[in-house]
Amino acid sequence: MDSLYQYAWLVPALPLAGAALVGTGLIAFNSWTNRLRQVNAALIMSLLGVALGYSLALFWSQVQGHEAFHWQFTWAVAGSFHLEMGYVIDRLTSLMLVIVTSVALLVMLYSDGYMAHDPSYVRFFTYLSLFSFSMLGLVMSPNLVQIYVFWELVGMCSYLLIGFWYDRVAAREACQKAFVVNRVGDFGLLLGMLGLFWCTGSFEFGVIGERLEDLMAAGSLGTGLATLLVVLVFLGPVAKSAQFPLHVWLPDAMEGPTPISALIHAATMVAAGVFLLARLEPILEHLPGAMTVVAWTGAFTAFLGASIAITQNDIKKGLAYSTISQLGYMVMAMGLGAYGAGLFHLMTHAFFKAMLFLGSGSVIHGMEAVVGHNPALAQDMRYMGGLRKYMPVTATTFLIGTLAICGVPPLAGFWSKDEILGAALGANPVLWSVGWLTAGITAFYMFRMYFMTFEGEFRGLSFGPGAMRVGELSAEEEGHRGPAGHHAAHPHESPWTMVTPLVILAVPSVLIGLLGTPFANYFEAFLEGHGPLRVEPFAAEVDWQEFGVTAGSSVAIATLGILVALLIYRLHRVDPAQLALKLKPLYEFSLNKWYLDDLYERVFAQGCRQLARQALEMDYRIIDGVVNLTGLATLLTGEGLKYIENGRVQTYALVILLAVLSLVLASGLA
Amino acid sequence: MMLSVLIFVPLVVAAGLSLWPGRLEAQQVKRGVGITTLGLLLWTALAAGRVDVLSPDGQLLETLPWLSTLGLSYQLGLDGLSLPLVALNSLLTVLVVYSSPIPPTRPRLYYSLLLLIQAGVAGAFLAQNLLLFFLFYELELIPLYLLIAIWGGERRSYAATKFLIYTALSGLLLLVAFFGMAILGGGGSFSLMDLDTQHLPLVTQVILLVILLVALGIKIPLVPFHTWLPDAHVEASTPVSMLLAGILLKLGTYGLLRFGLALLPAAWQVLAPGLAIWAVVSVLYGSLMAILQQDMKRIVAYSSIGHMGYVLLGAAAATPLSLLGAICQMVSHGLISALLFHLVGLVYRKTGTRNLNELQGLLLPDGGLPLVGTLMILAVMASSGIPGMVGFITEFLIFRGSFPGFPLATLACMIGTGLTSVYFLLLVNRAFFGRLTARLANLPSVSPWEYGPAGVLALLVVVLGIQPSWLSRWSEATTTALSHAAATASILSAHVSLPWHL
Repeated sequence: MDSLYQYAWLVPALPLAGAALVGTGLIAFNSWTNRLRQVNAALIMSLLGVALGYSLALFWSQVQGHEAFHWQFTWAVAGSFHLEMGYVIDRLTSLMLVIVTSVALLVMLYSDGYMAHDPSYVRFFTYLSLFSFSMLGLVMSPNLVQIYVFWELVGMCSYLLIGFWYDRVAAREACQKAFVVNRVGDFGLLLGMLGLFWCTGSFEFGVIGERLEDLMAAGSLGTGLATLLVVLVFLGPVAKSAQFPLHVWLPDAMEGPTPISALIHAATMVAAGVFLLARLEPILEHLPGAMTVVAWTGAFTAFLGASIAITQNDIKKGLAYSTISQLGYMVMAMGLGAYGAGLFHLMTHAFFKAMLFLGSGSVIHGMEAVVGHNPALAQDMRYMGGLRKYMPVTATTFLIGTLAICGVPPLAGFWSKDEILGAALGANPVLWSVGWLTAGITAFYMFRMYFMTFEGEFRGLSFGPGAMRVGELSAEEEGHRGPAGHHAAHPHESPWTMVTPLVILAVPSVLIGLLGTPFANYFEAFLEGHGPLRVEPFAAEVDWQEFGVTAGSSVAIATLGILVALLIYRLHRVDPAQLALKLKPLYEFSLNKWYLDDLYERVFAQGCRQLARQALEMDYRIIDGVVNLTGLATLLTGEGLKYIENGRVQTYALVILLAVLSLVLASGLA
Repeated sequence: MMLSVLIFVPLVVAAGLSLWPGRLEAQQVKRGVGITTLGLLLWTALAAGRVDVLSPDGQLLETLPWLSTLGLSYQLGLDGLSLPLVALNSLLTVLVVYSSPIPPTRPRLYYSLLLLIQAGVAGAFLAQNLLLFFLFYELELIPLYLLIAIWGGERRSYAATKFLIYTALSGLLLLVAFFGMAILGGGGSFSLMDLDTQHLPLVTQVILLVILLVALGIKIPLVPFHTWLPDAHVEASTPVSMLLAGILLKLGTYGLLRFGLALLPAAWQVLAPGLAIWAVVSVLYGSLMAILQQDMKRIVAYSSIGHMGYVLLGAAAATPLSLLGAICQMVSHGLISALLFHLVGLVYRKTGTRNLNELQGLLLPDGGLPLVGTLMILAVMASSGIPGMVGFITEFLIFRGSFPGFPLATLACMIGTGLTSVYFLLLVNRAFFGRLTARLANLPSVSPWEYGPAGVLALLVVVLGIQPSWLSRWSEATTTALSHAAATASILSAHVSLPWHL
């Protein structure tokens, strides 16, 4: 058994090897490598496939109850300061490894179809492989420093992948925004890490937690300061998991290719923040103040994301805000101390949201045949409708995903969301009511999305029923990438490489929730074993009354949300445009994303530019001005020019050298 | 004799080149100089192999009396402070000679000036005598002035003159500080071993240190003495910019550690909070200035001002870790900024412009410069401190080492790393993303030979980023000893209170 663990580093190393191999090929033998498209993809996928197999073996070994495995080496040493690197395989890690490798492999399979006509197909797979390596390294990290290292690397991969189509203006701006916003979070994370090290002398989660407790008990460290440091660390997850107020990058990140949205911006990287919070559990549990901040941030973000998702017409933007909202649930669970519930939702969400995103990609792929390669048209739900007829598999899987995220029993989302809401009800009724209300909104916007896309008549480029103004339709001209010649009358179902992952992902989206029912919670039993995570005790006796209240109420509000969506978007009993007109301020508020993007643009982006402009002014006018005013510059310029133009430079050099030397001599002898 | 070779071989070759009576083919000159510098790089590696990294003291010492009345003696030595920088100097010179296109006018002079700079810089790092340091410090100045003034851009004489005025002033102040130290604390000797400045009254020490700081602050450069640098970079040709940013600026920070911290530790302790604030001002100011620039070279130049500020922060904190970080940051900045300047130079050579308003879509594989773009993204990520590249670990060491002493200054400098990603991403976004304009279509392709220096530098940046101990092991003993010595000295002098405390 030991040798299985000793070689566990192969799991991230295999995708790295793939990326390095193909990447070197791209640099050294570009045209050759680009010609061997599917050979490269097959190589990368088979390496990741082996990593998936290995991950499953590790997972199974953990299920069998084997001890957690730690391995570390000293990466950098300076005197008494050691930086350790290594890996840890415990229950949480083995679970994350399986999630990451399986979703990544399915996304790669899907990408083969989705990116089939892209000239940068090979580069795309290289980036995907590099990302898989970084993400796997992140979840295996034994300490904060290594988490930070891979945290930055996944951020860099995300930058490269959002900006994959860098000839599009929107993509260039989006990748830059994502990187900079994430740097704000990383700044907090690094600062918090340094602060915690300063207090405790360690980067290891368990050690930091113990020493913090001792220090606070001894009174040498104020609870306020410790809370501040942990909240700073929390800024990292706030940025990476797109929590308010640093969520603004995620919707823009949809400019990347859709497989990326599924893998990075739904299933894995954005969940890294939640994962880090789970790892921070030994530290967080001593600091109720920090927990409160986390919980409220999550709850607020859940509501914020859902409230914006209502009015989005871009199918991917809608899903992005839904992701923000669902991440909010997970973060709230972490803040409530319900780690098991939060991680359970992370897992179920990873599967059904990856499926929803891949489904939206399939829709876009189909729509592109009709409206051309223009994301502003191909992703706009107002041009869709009735797609069920043309894309039956995509429609069915999308419906399953929608039901799962709405919390309809017995699909996956029901169990995990209900567990979070149950924890919230026990802790704070206000938090519960926010979560409960958000569940209703979620059901509404998801079914709005489903109805607008798949039901009714296909609208094509004619006007649609979504709530909208005419001006919104101004599609960007720039965005046509390929020749826009091959327009078809109807969209078509996607090729098998794209449909198969959808079908495979539908299975866990339906069934995986059954692992975490209140009557037999295998999921928490697994996590709460010997790993570093301590989850709430196994519910031996189910409180049926409590379960009835929480489950009943959340099913009720989900049903309500679905019914309203049905009335408006399927049965057309209410005209959404009229409704929008009546609730104009609210509608505008949601449509403009609470005006947060504008606010940031005005305050931070323009403020920074303003400050820079003033600095520039000062540089030219004052600092440089003083120098130039001395007149010496002009004088010497004239002299210098004369000598250079005379071609007597050597003489000049000699003169200066002699002058310096004589100055030295003179002052020395004097 | 190990170390003298590093100074005299380039000097002799340079003199030979300029004085050779017959005609020399430019190609031959370049090849000869290239072989010379390559040999010197190997020689540096040999010397490094003979250094005991566990000892903090100067090694391979060479001493010859010279002008004893003046207190000037020829003393060389190599320790953990100087070894990485000497190696960087030898490496960058090879790359610079290799990547220089043969100048149309006066090729012999051009290459002999490059060799003179190499000799001057190596001598300054190796000197164990203040006056000797000063002589080499000045020796490197004139060739650089000429390199800018003769082979520079349109406003070259303005930039070169500005550079000369600033650095001449720096040299003068440096001389004043050195004389002060030697006469007051060394009994007239300038030798590092004879100097005993620590028993001077604290006020005198502080005055000497302030003069030294201004002198070296011009060289580093720190705000507000920095305005010569962007002008010099913009007008200098690519290889000269690589040298200037890569190694010459390090003379300033090296001098701070060698003569400021080591010789005047008590005064250093007094001024340290001010130095940390100065570092913050430099970092933030340089980064802000870089945001609005339109010339790619100016952006990289201002980024240098910001990144050299981190070195000052590490030096101010003077913990073993922050000093180690400071030395490593010098090397890391040398590699990364040389890489950046090289890539900007390639863009300029192929497109004829560095103006961000005119460049677009260079990353595109058809007709653009995709590999230059890829390397540029790598360099930019390294400069913003992304792990896996050397910039991360050196900044991390500085921040980790400085945080306990100056938490707020460290925090502010960390904002600077965020700003780095802002201005460099803007550069990548504007020049490399987007579509090629008609003017930029069908750029001449870059031959593999032209990538050579970029490839070497990028490889080093990544390898040292993954294996940082290959960089830090050379300096660790010296920086630890230096930090302890400084701490002890300042404790000893703690009871000597300042006059205004009386």
